[in-house]
Amino acid sequence: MAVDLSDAADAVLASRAAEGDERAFEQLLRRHLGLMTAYATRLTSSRADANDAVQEASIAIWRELPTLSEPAAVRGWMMRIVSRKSFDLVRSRRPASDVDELELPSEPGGRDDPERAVVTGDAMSGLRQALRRLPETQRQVWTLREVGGESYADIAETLGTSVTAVRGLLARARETLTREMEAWR
Amino acid sequence: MSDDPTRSSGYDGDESGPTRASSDPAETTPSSAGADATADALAQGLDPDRAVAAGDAVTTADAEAELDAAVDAAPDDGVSLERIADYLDEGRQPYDPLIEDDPSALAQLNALRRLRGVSDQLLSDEVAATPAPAPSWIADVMSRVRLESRSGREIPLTSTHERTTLHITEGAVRGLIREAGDAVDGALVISCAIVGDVAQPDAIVTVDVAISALYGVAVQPLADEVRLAVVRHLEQQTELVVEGVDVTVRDVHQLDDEHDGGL
Repeated sequence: MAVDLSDAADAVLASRAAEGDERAFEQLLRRHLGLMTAYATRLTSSRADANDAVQEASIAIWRELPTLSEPAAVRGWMMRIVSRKSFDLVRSRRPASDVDELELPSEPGGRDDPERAVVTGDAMSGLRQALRRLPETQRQVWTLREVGGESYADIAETLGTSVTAVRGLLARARETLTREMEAWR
Repeated sequence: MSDDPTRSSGYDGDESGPTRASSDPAETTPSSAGADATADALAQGLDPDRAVAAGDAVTTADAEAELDAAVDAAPDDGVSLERIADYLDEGRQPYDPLIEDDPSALAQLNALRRLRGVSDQLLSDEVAATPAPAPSWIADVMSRVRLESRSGREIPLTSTHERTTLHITEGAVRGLIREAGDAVDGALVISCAIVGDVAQPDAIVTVDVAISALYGVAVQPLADEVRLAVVRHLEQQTELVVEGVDVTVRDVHQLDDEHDGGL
């Protein structure tokens, strides 16, 4: 009988998958799929695009796993591939449609949970709206940093700009968000 | 505050400090109000040619952002938000009195912490709201994965028919090694390798196996058991001449419910 991998650490799953263990890969993918999809949804502003981007990212992750030098850092590494594939998709679509006009992940569920709505519902919808009002590049940089936990250098590479510009954009986004947050109490 | 720090002494302190000294180019060049991309990039250790290219390539919006970054890094009234954010990223270690002892910096730090708390909540809310993937979505990914299976080297097998050659792939043998190791109670295979010229029939090979041991299990007997299991399994399933199996216990793991129960 096959061993249960659901308790296995990310690093173990990543090492096994790098050596061709498809079951370990599937476990790794299922474990982080929600996060990957939420991240891609924020970056592409579309659930459908997010699903496509995550699918492409998943194949790329499988393909590139043997090159991952730190299996314990696999989650952040996966997120980075998700953002890369998300931007590939957004760029390929841009001529046809203005991404800013696409539906944002506006009102996800969890709102139905009354307890949670009481605790942070106002703050969360405040942040959601404030993010929507941010200029697109500021929103992207903020998402890559705060949601994806990516390094300044990686963000600069993904967006084709300089680290200094990334820092500036992030500083402005943070300033706006912390200022607006005063009203969310 | 008894030691009310001035801004200039603040920057001095930062530059001589052990942390993130190189991570904040704007702070190491506090006078760069002109947002000189080349100088900033140099401060980050980039090579000058690339830095110039990057400087040339920036758009008006980027240049504006860089200007803002420089301005943000050298505000009139204390520590920059960016530096506070970096400090927060570092887990507020080592203790920075310029931030911790300054009421307005501390207020900004707390605002950033709160923002991060709301962001984390928003993200976990969105993760929870992500519909479970359609079974066909996973199946689709996995079938594409199988098309790119990592089969590795081909290992010849003796054929009973003169005109056919049989092979087993290295990937399949790795699968057998994992299967054997995993089957030992308390062991989980992390990685394995077949060392030797497996493409030659009857080549002598050694097998390296790294395992994780379940917390509390005696490591030496576990390693021995894994070694035996791998040897036995390979003998039964392959024609490899296995000279030795080296088992390394690389990690110790717990099962999830034991985390909760507290061993």
